[in-house]
Amino acid sequence: MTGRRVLITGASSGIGQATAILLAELGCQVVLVARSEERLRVTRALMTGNGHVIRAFDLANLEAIECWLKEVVASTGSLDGLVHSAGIHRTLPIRFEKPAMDDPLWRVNYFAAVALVAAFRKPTIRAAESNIVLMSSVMSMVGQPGVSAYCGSKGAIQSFSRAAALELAREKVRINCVAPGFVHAMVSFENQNALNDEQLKAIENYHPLGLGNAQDVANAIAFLLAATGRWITGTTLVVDGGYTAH
Amino acid sequence: MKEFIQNLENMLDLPAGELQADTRLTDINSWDSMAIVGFLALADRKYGKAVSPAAIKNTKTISDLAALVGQS
Repeated sequence: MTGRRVLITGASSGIGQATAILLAELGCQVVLVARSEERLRVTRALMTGNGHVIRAFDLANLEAIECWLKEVVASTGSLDGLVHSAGIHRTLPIRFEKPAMDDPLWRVNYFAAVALVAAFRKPTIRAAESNIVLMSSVMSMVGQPGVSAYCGSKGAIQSFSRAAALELAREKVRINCVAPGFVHAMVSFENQNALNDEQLKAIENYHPLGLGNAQDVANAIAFLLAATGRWITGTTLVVDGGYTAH
Repeated sequence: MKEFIQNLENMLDLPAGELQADTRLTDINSWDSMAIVGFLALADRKYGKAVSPAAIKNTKTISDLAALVGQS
């Protein structure tokens, strides 16, 4: 992927960070996006190669995404790829859910993806051949109590990507999803927030191959982004240690 | 009309100045079914006009489209 330029959201941690590090090793120039510039600097320090740029931005600011992306590309040059790894996870029983259009989970997980894709596809933004990877989850395909909004948003991303793949094929823009199972980074988040050790062990045991690493998912993203993904669009690559085989 | 043409050029990802009032729709490469759906959305959002797909069938030029949204 030498010389390709890829923008990665959620690059400050987890899968986004692992993807940035891997793509840098593969020769990409990476545009690192997250809310915290400080944390993006940490990511950049872990990356090989030169020319990686930091663009702190809050993707919940949907109306500003198009203008922001134009400004980014005005200084970096056009993008060969886009990875939307930023996302919000929420554990909340349905009885407490209060659906709202300004729900940050939906804004970042789904609506920001739509806005990014709509902005990215413009011929002034993307290269002649380009592609997009959106972050879905095994939680789009199977459920779990307490994460209905998260599951909904990750399912919506998959359906959106199929329609987008058909619509954007004529523009030589491929678009796919990855659907990760539980990776170690995710588990430590859950540990701090909602699940006890016993519940987390049960989740781990439900993965025939055990928990994954962010690197496992980064590998899949790189596969789709590179020429290895040439003939792949409108699909979801499940990377889950066998979780959804049950 | 000038602003209408600019909006249409943006929508079709065409460079500024590519379209004129008398440009025939059949001469625009990207004027396809997707573009028509996009035009209906443009008519609604930018000009507040609910244009029917049937009305598009009778249009031949950019100025015909402009007339549908009260721009001339």
